[in-house]
Amino acid sequence: MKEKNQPHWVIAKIVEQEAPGITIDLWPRVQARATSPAVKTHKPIIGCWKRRLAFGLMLILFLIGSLAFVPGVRAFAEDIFQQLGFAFVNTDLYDQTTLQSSVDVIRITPPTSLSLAEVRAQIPFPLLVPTWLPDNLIYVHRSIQKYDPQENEGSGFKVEIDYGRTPDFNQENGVLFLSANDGPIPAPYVLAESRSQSVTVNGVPGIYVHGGWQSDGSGDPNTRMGDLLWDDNADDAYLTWSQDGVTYLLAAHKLMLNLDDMLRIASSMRGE
Amino acid sequence: MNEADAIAQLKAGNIAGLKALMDIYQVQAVHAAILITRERAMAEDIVQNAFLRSFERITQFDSSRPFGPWFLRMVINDALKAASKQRRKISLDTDEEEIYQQLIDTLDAGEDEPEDLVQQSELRQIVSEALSKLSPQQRAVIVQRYYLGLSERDMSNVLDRAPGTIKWSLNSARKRLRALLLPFID
Repeated sequence: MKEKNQPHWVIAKIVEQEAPGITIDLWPRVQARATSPAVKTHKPIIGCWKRRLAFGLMLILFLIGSLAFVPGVRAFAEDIFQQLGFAFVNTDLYDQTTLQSSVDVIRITPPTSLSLAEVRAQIPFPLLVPTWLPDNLIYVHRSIQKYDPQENEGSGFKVEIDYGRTPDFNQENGVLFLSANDGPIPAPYVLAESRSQSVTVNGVPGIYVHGGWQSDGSGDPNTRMGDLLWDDNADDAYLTWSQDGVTYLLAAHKLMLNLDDMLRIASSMRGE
Repeated sequence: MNEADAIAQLKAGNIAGLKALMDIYQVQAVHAAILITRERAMAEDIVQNAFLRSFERITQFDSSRPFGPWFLRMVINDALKAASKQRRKISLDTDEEEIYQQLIDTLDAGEDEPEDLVQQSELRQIVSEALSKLSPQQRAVIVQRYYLGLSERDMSNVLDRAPGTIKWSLNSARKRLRALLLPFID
């Protein structure tokens, strides 16, 4: 009987001649392999490419979420680490970045200013304050910021004392911030690691940094941060040290202060 | 045991189901793989691995659909990958529809005559050699269309190509095969 589908017939004859069907029996080999422990059962943990893809996507989302919302993970990823009152970032890792990000502008109403006695009454650690300040600098504001002690080392009370050249605390006229906390300063300044200087403050180790981040002008003051570049000539000076279990941070802006000036303020700190 | 029973058993973890499926499909699968790879040992390895993979993935198989196309798709794709690595290609292009038809007519004619049977045997050898000279992709479309009897739509699903691409590949393979056979046609 002739095959009606001639091409099929020809090809079938060819292959039957090359490998007669009667000689094909793969079962013994397949059975041996199917029953060996090396072969997975038909209920694999992650058995197909779709599941692997889904698992991979979930992992990526988890990592992105961690980077976005877990400060510790983000800091680790960005190579940011804290020392006393500063957080340092390795700018070598960022010299090629041109990241921009949109942010919501948050207006914060400053807390009521407290007297020094009120501050000391509320905090569980001794507080030193400067008895010497550069010319024309006056006290402006004192406050206590409360942090969750579960998430921050120390009691959770951070003291902020602001000094300025004018009572309106206009930062363009020059300001000095003093922060104190019985543990690392919460929400520290992020500064360039390469510019940190080890110094001695009141007989204890401290860190001094001069300069600051300057916008490259690509941002918008209301909605967008531009790229930041470190500027050694920026009129910013920072000094931090830990004394009697309390971490202090001095941050001066537009006051033309140098290391000697900052050390002089620090050495004038008294418990009165 | 029919195919549905075999799949049900396999899904239940009974390897006897795999044996039943192999009884149905192993010869066809090995032949298809041989036609594409042109090597029996390689073809048997491919089919063996495909059966084991179907055993591992049987829970993902939709029992309402036939097993054959799902399984043969794996075999053809694996054979194509294996054959492509070997890169057996010879370039030749001639378009001779009439000559191809002559070949078919010759094969079809006088089947009962001993002389013709000899001639058919020779021609099968010629066709076999011609098949070997096609590219793996061309062999794959020839095998699917003429050996497995798949439609162009089915082939587009198996090879994950657009139907238009399959049609073009099929025509290209036909032309190549005819051209290769041209010197042997009276």
